[in-house]
Amino acid sequence: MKRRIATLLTCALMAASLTACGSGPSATPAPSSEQTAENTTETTGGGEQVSSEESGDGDAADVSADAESYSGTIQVWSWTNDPEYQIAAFEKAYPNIKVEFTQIGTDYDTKMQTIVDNETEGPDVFYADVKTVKNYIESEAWENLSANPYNADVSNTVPYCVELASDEEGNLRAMTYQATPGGFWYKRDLALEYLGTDDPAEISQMLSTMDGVLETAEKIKVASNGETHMFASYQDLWNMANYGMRSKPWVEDGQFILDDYVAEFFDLAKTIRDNGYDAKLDWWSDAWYSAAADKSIFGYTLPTWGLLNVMQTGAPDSKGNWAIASLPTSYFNGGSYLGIYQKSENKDLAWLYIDFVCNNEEYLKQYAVDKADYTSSISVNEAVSEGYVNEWCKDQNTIEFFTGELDKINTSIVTKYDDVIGNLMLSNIDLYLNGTLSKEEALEQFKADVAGNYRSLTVE
Amino acid sequence: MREKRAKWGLIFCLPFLATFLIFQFYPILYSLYLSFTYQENSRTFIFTGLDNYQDLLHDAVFWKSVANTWKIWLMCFIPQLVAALLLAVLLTQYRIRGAGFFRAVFYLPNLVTAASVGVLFAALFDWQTGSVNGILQSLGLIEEKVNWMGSPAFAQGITGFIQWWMWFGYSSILLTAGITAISQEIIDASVVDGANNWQRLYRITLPLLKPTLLYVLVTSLIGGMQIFDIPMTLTKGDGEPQKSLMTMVLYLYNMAFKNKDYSYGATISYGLFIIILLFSILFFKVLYGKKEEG
Repeated sequence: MKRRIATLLTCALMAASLTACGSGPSATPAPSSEQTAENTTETTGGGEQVSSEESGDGDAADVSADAESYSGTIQVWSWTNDPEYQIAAFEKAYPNIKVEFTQIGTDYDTKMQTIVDNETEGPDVFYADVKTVKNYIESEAWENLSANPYNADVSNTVPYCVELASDEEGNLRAMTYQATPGGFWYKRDLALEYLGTDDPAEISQMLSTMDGVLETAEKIKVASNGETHMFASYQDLWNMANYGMRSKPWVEDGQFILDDYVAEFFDLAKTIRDNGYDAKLDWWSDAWYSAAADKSIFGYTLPTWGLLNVMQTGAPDSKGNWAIASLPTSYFNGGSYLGIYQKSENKDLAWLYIDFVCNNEEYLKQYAVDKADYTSSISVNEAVSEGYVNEWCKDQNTIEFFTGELDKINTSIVTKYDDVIGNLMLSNIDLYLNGTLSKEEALEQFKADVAGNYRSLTVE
Repeated sequence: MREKRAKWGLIFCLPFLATFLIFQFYPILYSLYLSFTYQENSRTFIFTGLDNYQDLLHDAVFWKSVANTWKIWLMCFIPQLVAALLLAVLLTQYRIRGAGFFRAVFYLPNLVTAASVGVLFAALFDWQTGSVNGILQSLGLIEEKVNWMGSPAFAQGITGFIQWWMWFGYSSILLTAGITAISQEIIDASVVDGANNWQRLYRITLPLLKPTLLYVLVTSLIGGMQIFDIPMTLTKGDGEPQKSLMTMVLYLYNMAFKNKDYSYGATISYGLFIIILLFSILFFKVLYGKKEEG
């Protein structure tokens, strides 16, 4: 008898320990390793391509007469597999240069920053997400591309990309092949149903002021009986407001500055949450991706690469159902920048690589078409834009749209602190929204968090 | 002869000694040096003496992380010990059929990497799309979705639960070994003297199991003080809500590698080291004290 009770008890404990194990995988698929990497490192995806991998050979690359005279091997490091396409094209153009590519998925920046700080042996060229570019510039990780022997010509490069990759003296330290202006990607069928139009110009008009944005959100909520939320999360709007609405940098001369807009954004977040304008989905979560395919959200606040990486991943059958509209201000998000590592011993070949990937017009045209990306080259964008139609967006010329957004991008308040400080602010807004803290408490705690995270800053 | 032996002994020790010196001893000393410096920029460190330690003593977040770590450890260790003890006794004293099978099943969660368990639980308890909310809602137990990970108490509780779930099987195997090691003669003698099962448990098994219990305690403490992977994956590294999942090592990691303040990171790691050292000494004192008595 006793033994039977003991067996029962053991079984019960086993059942308890196994239920947690059993219901997991079937009900909620764990995110793929790729998304996990995104989650943990919080990279913005910087143009991570998920379309079918073309070999990247094309016939675009122009092989100059003396290209074959260069030979050697260079090391290229990145956190995405984007360079594979670029390397294939480069090796075709320079047949005697071999590029060895290393992809470091997890903790890329921690590892890279450690190498750079200790000036140890590393790659010849390495990629950096726009969020970390300022860190690498400050650590003097990269060669000065404005100086001899590189003398990079930036007259044809989108100006904001040059500003972001320049040091305090205005010397160019890195280059990029993509500009990443953004807008609001929305679902055409829902727009037609709830707002009576799916025309990007008309929707842009509706979203041209913050009041207009909220009005539109209310319209969608009412028309859909609350089924459709305008945003995945209130944080969508931070993407735009981060550089578009604040007027002062987070840090100036070692002093933390709390912009007046921050308190305003707290209110905006509250309005959005309390009125049910957002679906409360976490960025980069599985649900966030799959919301592209259902009616739970109206659209995403994402830049150029959003269509490829988010909508096409989450809703592969939604071709032609998307369009992009302007928000009250323009913004940029993500983008991969390449620089020559100071300790490289093949700087001449490294520069050939960067120059090819970022400045070779013939190659970039092919790249823009193959990858449906928006490049950092003004002339290439102009050339590709002519008669361009994005099939995923019915008949919208998205290249033209992005070019129109470029002028409004503000990079004057970008600092190396933005990512961490922005996340601290959002954490405290979450506490305010779920009622744990009052607005004043949350603002105070935000300041305390900044002071705690950066001991070198003065916070008043 | 003896000298020759010593020489070979040294040679055989060398591989370990070399790796220890290069990969452990040097970093330990270098961290100590870093903890006495102020990091002006990514490559310049200025010696500032004990300034960092003074900062550490007044750092509310550090003390919060210490409290969090202890809370999470206690929430995992007490149930873990109870469950492990219960299982060990059930599986040895009662000679249940298939005991080996049960032991293996209980040990299974320990084989999954903590990081994947963290990701799994984050998905289960997701506010909007987690299956826990889904099930509760379809059963009609809740109306509104519960923001589980938005509550500090729950976030700590779930972390403690995960730790318990992962480690009780391991502890129970250790305790089983401890119980099996108790001499059959003592048990026979107690049975002859008329002890029933409860008396056997309280008077024989538990007292003789003390060294094993203390071993489990100390190893669990050292592991528990260093808890990192579960809070990291559950909260994507920020230790929210309300820094309730900010454990000591997560704080160390964030300060050193996210905010690139290596000096302070090193200081936190020495703070952690001192705490673990103090408690290990305390527990070992207890452990060896008991042995001498016995």
